[in-house]
Amino acid sequence: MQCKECGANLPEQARYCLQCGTTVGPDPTTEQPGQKLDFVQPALSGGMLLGFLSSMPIIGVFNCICCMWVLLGGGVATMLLTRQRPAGVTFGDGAFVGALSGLFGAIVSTIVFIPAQIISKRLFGSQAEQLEKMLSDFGVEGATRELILRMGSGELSVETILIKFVSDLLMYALFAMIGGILTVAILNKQKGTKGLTPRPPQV
Amino acid sequence: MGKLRSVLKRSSDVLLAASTLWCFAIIAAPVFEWTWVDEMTHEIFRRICHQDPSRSWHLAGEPLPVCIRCASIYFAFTASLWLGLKMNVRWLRVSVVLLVCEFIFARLVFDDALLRSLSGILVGLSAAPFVRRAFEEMQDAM
Repeated sequence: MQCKECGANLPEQARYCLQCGTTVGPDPTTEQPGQKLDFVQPALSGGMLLGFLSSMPIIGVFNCICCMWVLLGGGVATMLLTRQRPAGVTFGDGAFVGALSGLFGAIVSTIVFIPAQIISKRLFGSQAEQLEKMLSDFGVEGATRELILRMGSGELSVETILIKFVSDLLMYALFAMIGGILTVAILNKQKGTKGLTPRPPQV
Repeated sequence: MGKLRSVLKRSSDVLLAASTLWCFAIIAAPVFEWTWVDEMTHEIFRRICHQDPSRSWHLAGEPLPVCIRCASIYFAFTASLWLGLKMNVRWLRVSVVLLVCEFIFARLVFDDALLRSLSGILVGLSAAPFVRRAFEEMQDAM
C-alpha cells in the first residue's frame, strides 16, 4: 500500500503513513459511529487536578512556566477521554475537553484559594516584616518575592476573588485547551490530516 | 445565536485575529508604559509568566510583560498561523523535547537568551497548525 500524500510504501494493515502521518486506512474516529464521548467526567478529573495544583502555595508558582499545571490538566483530561475511544479522538475533541477542564479548574482553584488565603494570613499576617527580612536574607527577588509577600498578606475581598475567578476562567480554559490539543497530537491518537470533511474553497 | 454561529464558521480567522491581538498586547505594555494598558497586560500575563525583567526582551527601554521563551512561543505561533504552516507530528515532538532539554540545561549548565528564544520559536511554529486544525474540527462539528 502507498501513501496518497507522500507516496511512501506502507504495510497493508497501516492506518497512518509512517512518514507524513496522513490517514491511509479507515478513519479511526468514525469506526464506532454509535459511541458518544462523555466529556464531563474526564474534564472534571483534569479540572480538579489543575485547580488544586494551581492554587497550592509554592506548587502553584510553577504555573509561571507557560501555565504548566493548566497544560497538564488539559492533557490529563484528554488522556482520560482517549480511554473511551482507544482508536483515537480528534483534535477538536481534545480542545473541547481541555477547555472544559480549564473551566472546572478555575472553579476548583477559586474555592481552594479562599481557605488557602485565610490560612496564609494567620500564618504570616502578623509577621509581615519578619517575612520580608527573611526573603531578603535568602536573596529571594522579583516575581517570586512579590508572590510570597502577596500570599503572606492574605488579601481577601469580594473584588479579589471575582478578579481571580474571571481571569482564571479565561486563562485556564485557553491553556487547558491547548494542553488537550497538544496531547492528542503528541500521543498520536489522531495523526491523520483527513479527519475533516473537505472544506469548500473560500471566495 | 445565528450571528455567533456565523462568527464561529470562520474559526481559523478568529484564531488568527486573537493570536495577533495577543502579540500586540505583549508589545503594547512597554509602549504604553504607566497607563492602564501597561498595568492590565502585566496583570494578565503575570498568571502565565514569571515576568523577570532580566530574562525578558526590552522595548523602548522597558521589559515586555512575558519572558523571552514565552514571547518567542507566542510570536512564532502567530507567525505560523499567518504563514499557514502544515501539521507535522514529528516536528512537534522534537520541539517539545528540545524545549524541555533546554529548560533543564539552562538550570543546570548554561543559560542563554538565544537558546531560550530558539526553543520557544520551534514550539510556537510547530504547535500552531494543530491548534488551527482543532478549531476547524470544532467548527465542522457545529
